[in-house]
Amino acid sequence: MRWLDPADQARLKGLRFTPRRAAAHAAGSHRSAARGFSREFDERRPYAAGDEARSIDWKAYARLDRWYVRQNRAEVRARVVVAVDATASMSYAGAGRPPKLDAARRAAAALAWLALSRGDEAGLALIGAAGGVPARGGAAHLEAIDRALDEIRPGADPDLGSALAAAAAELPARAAVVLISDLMGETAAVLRGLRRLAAGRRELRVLRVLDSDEREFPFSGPLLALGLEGGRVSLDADAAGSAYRAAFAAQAEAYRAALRRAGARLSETEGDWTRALARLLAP
Amino acid sequence: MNFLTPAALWALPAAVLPTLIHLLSRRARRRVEFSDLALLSSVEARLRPRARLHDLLLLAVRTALILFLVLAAAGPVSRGGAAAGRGDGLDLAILFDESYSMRAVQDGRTRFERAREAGRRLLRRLGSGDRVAVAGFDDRTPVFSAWTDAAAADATLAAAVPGWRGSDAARAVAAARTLLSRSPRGRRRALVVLGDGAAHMFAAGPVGPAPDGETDIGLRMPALPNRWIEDARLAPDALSLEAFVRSSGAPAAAPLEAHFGVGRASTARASGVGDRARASVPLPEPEDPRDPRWSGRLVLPPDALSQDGSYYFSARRKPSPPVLVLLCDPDGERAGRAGWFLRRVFGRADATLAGRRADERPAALWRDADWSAYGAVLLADAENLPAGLSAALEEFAARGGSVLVAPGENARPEDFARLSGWLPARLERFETAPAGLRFAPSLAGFELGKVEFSRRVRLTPAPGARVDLAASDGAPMLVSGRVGRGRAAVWGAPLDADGSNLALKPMFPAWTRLLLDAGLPEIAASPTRQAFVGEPLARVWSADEAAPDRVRVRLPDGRHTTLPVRGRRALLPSADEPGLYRFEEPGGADAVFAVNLDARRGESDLTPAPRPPWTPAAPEDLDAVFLAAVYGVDRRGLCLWLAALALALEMLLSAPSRAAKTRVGAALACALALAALPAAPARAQQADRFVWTQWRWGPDWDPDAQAPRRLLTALAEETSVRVLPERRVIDLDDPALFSSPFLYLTGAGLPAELDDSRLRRLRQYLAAGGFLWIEDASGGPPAAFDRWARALAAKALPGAPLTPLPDDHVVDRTFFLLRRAEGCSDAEPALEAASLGGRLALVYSRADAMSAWAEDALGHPLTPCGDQRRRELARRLTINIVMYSLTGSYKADAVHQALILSKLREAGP
Repeated sequence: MRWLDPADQARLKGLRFTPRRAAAHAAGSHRSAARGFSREFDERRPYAAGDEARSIDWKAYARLDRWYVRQNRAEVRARVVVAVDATASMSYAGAGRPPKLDAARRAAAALAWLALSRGDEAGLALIGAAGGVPARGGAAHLEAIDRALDEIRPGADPDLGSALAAAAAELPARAAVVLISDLMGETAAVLRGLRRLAAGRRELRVLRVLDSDEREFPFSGPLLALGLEGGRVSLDADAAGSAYRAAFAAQAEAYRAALRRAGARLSETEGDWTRALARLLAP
Repeated sequence: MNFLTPAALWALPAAVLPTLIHLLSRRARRRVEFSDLALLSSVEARLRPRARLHDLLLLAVRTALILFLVLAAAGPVSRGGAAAGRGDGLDLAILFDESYSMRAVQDGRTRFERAREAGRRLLRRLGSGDRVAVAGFDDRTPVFSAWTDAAAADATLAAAVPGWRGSDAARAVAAARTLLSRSPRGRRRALVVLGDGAAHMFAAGPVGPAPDGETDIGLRMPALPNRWIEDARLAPDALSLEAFVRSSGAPAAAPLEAHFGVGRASTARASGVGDRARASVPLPEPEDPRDPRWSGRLVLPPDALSQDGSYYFSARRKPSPPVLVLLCDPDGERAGRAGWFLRRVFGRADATLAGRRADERPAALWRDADWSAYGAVLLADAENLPAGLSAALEEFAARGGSVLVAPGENARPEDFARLSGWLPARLERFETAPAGLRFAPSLAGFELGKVEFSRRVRLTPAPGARVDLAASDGAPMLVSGRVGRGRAAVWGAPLDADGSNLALKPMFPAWTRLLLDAGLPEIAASPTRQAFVGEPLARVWSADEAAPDRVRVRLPDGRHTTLPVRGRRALLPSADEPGLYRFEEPGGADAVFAVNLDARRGESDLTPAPRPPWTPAAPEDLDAVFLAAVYGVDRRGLCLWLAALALALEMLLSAPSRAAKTRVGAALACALALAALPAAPARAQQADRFVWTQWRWGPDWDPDAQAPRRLLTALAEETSVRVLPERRVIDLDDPALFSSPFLYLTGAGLPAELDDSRLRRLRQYLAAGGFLWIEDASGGPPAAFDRWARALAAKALPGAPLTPLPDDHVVDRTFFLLRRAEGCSDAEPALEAASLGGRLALVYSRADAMSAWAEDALGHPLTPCGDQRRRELARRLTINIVMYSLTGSYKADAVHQALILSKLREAGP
């Protein structure tokens, strides 16, 4: 397990990933609106031909001299897809800090572990890069996810928005999608991609992984900024700094507002991702 | 634009350094990896125009900074000659205007002082290799000093005083250019005219443009309103003086004061439109009716140039002595007879048609009359002459009297014979005569052709006699001529109505005047007694006057000079000062000449020339204009300023943050504000001269404008104090107050109360060492001025009350040793004073000491002031007070005691 630290596991032990809607394709641990097999009693109904005899409530027959059938609620498994932004911007690391992608990998692994340990299915989708693991249950699947995380090679696709849209097309419907990304890109395109992710009755949660440099822009003097996703901008950091910070704050607010409207939860982190994850998964 | 060190311009390419650095720094800018540039590039795109502008500005400012520094190092000079930076010397000709218009006062100082000060300031800016030639000029060709250095020229300027003549710039400039044209090749040539730049400087002729290589600079002073008396002469009726007033910048109409000698003054008002006015000043009775003459001064109210508001006159009129009419016919007073007609003409003394007072007497009683009381004797009907009358008439004429004779109806040949012996015409016989008289100017307008005579006496004029009237056939009718020192006139027909209708004609009074005038001594023989400054004065004695061998001439300043009389002529070569010049003969007779300023060419018009032929400069910045015109303007300072400005901008633009920009901006603003603080102009000093400063306050602040001048003359002669002859008249708000350690105020009426600002200034003045002398000129018991002065003293020096000065106070010893302070008035105490810090700051006198200096134009004292001794003591007191203001209690020093005591012992009790 490369990306799942026992220390993180211990810290995250109490967390529980509860999707609002679980997919009903398999029995699991999540309550479902459908009837099914679980220990949770739902209702009784008069016996009809074709009902299984073992479902007849014999105690009720003894009292009422009528055949009733006991019906229990179904318990379903949730399908959790962790979508990790694998565009080049995620590999940015501020001075003396690990790349953002590392935090994203750890968070993804933790999420997968949390889901799998609850008996849900977990999958991995990579945005802007090839690879990914389809959602599946079973503790053994964690290994596969971990391996896939390890093999992420950040792509050079500069357009996060279109990458998000492309990734959304691959995702199963009605899945719970946790997007781990920096959301650094053209605001409108990113918002468009996020809407696509949330479509198809998918439940979207976003863990925004940032480096403090991206928020603070602590540079000074004349700069030649080289983008990890290509491109270069020559500017005077002293003059541009405040404008950039203002623009960044405006962008973050735009994301927050858009996601709130879409019913998606957003949590931001710069470094300590476990807290952000806890906020994201809080009931 | 020239450069003192053009080699420094090789550093100009350094100005591209900022551009190079900018380009290089573009390449060397820090490369930073950043995650995603979408946001950053949108921000950058938004900021790009501003950033680019900022970069360009910064680049420009830095380039300019280097550019200006390099230029400043090269020493740029604009407008100057090409030789600006080289060591060639300068030949500077300075012409200072000595004309009287330079005496005009502006802001308490004369134009001459201002011009001189500007010139001396200019001289201090000259270098060691420069040469200067100085000349004063008026309307004569100036005589230049030899080439000297600046110090010698400064001494010449310092000693110069304004004169009394007009100015002719064309002549002066021509002389200066001749001098400059001879200066060695390669030297710079400049001409500075220290004049007032007034238009009248060019009245005599225009000044051509400066020749190549010569720089001409002249002062220009603002126009000042001025009034002057252009001329004053006897009115045709000889009863009043007509004065012609001109003005520029002010209406000419003004009150006019006329002083005719001791205690005789009158006022008139000049009325007119615009710049010309006329006044008629009535003449008082002449002192001597036999020689009616008046001399004195007409004065306009003081203005910028008050000297030309004074006009001296010396006017003579033909005498009109009283006439003694002798009638030979006992019935001569009957109607139709000569005596009757003459009585009508002479009438009463106050309403005479003949212009003379006359007394009648029968010829037979001629011995009873006091002939010395009359200037003329008119024998109206010469017939049956009493014995001795003819001889008496001849003697009267020979002594200088005027004898007028008309024949009587019954004249006998022996009467004619007696008279013909000495009269200017021989009376021969009666004859018939045609009607009419020939034209005579004094009878113009009368019907001369209608005068008829029944008979006339044939007159044969004696040699040298003059025919004043002739009959229509040319026969002489009125003949006059000299008899001894006097004159006689003969009329050729009886005056009775039977003999002629002349007495019935309206022309009779005019004829009578003609007859009387014909018998008067010819006054035209003596030349006019008016002259302009600079002209010679010649007193000529006619043949019938007794000429002395020498005359004493009293000059206007009170000095005397003695002139020899050669060929009946005493000549004062040049009247150098306006005023009255009295030629006093040993016998007591005198002749007064009036000398005036020559304002004919407009010297009194203080309007500046619209386009002077030189570079005009105000006196305050003559040296700057001169240096700019001759050496060019050193633009190094400007370049450094611009560089500093560029540096400031650079600091502002390159400040890293908004807060830093604010700080830099604030610092720069402070620096700018400090630099822009106006440098207080240093007040011009009057050098080491004492200036009589008079405070213009109250209605009678100036009882006698000439008194201070006389005091100053005496001060300069008797003490070693150097004085400025012109006094300074100021109010307390005048900035010149603080360059005047001595301030004099006099008054008689009640002056206005001092307002707060003036009172504050007065306190400041006294506290700063000023000396104020207040004098009550009212003379009598303490009155309004006295109360006002005491109140002022109490307010100005609240802690120091006025106390009477003891007789042994140092004021009584500062120059003259006085037993006690004594002025013209008997008021007690004579001197009171308020002390401030051990010195007298305010002296108040009721002694009226200054009036001891009041004199009229002829040097007669205007106030009685006791006697001559008392006047001298009062004068000494004024000098002592001035000396006290200059030396303080210096004479109280024990060192002087022995001397003072011995002097006092010498002087006796």
